[in-house]
Amino acid sequence: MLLGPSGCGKSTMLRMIAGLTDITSGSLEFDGRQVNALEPRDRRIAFVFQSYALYPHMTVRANIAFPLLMNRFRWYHHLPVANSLMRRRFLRDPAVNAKVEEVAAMMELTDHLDRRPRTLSGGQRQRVAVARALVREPALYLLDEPLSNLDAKLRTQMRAEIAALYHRVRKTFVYVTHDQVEAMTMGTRIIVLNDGTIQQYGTPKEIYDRPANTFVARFIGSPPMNLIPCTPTGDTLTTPGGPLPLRAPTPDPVLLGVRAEKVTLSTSPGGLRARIVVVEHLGAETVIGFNLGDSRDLHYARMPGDVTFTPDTTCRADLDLNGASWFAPETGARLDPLL
Amino acid sequence: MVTRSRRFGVLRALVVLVLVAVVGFPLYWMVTTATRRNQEIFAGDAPLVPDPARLGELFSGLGPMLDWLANSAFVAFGTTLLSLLMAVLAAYALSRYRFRGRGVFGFALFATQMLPEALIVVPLYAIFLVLGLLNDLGGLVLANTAFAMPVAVWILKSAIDRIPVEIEESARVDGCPRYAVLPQVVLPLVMPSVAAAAVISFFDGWNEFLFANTFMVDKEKWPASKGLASYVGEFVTPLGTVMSAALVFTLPAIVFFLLVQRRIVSGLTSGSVKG
Repeated sequence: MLLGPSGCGKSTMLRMIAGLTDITSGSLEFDGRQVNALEPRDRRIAFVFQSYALYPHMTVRANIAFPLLMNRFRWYHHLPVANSLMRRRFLRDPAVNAKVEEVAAMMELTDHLDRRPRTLSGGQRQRVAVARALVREPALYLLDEPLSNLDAKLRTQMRAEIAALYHRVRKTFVYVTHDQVEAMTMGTRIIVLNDGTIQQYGTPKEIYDRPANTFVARFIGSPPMNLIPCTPTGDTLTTPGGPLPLRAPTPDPVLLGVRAEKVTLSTSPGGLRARIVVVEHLGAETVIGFNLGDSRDLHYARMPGDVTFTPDTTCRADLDLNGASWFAPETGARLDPLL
Repeated sequence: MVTRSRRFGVLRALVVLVLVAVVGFPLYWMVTTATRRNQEIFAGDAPLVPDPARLGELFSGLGPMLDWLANSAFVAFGTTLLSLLMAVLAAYALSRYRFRGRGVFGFALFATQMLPEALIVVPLYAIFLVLGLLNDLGGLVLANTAFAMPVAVWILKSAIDRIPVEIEESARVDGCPRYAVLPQVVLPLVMPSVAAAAVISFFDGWNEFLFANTFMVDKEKWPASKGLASYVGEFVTPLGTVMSAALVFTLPAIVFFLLVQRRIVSGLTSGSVKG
């Protein structure tokens, strides 16, 4: 998974892997073989575009078969008029037809094979794009935000279909997304990018539990990780909401990172002084935004069920510091806790 | 509501009828004049409806008109093919590639349309004289192409601009060689614009008169536009014959337009990308 905000370079990275954007420096290797100079068609890849990029003048059948047909085309078959005739001829080939119908059945497109892309729904078009990628059995699948044009319901359905597909074909998928839910639920490894630089590489759990820096900590997770500015004093930490009996990994000021689900708000004594700012009832859980002490920084608590806090009231915030993260305020880099 | 929309429909039909009458009247006059005898034309008492019995006489007395029509067809088809071939390549390059001089090239194409043919004809005559292209139908094709191609380039460039580049990239990933992306993917999608450019180029070549009149000397090499003008004499102009020739001259162009206009449809790219 290539995950990052818009403009961070994730699509550019994918296009470089595909050979659609030139690599100005560095080396790109597939199985130890440098492929920088190879044309996209020679890289044994398939690319699913965000915008589907179907061939509108061809039927669904011809769209899916296109990579197979290109394998059989000689240079003179590409000439105007000849290419259309040869496409029709090769499309009648039983081997091509069998392969197309097999993939179409897998993607539930059998009934739409003789239709044009413009007559299909968004989800069906996306399935055609995936089917076209599947048909050539590439070594590497590249998917550039393939679900971002679908509505929420269809996106959930297609997410499950792509995940199932991944388990069925057992090939490497490189999947670009800015949606952390997609990355966390579908990815086995995630690269978090920002400003063209890799921020962290790891499993979804590693990235969620041990973010490499404050960017990753804030980018992954909804609501983002709370970063509480603290000043260590011996074995205690001074926070905007009061002291915490905890030893920091450094005597200098630090940022304490705590996930929202590790914060419990209550009116009982103990914990840090907090003021409720916003309450979002999500049904199964409630997300509460609060300030610590007199600080204006907004922190979040995620609590199960429907809690009865109201904005502009005071309460106490209890932090579960098991697995908390520490960051240097100046660089944002992760600091290893003292164990 | 229904009455209002019906009234609007009637009004629209009336306006269309008037426009058709205005545009069609010269054609009607051409056909009726072609079927009249000279004395009827000048007497002014000829019937307003052409006599079908005389339609058979239309093409008699046209002399070498058929040969001239064949020359015109050569020039028009030659201009169309050459213009389209070069225009497709130029339009693709202008649309898809960033290169030094791209803006200048685009402006130069426009500039050719700013200059009237009459201004070019003398220097072009000198060039054709050196190249041995005078009195040569091939030379006429070249001269007409120089004027028809820029228009075709701009028509096709704007059509190619509208095609999402992802479709081409997708074709490249799917195994289509770079040189084949244009004929495989782009060209079928811009066929309506190719057809429009073909019509414009064809009529440029078919109707062109100035270069034909200046460069073509041998009577048997004249295109029909020049041949048609030759019916107009210094002392006598047989209007019936001129109109017959004009009718014959118009028919192939109309047939060509009817054949090609079916391709001028829009919306071919719909469904290719999210939109």
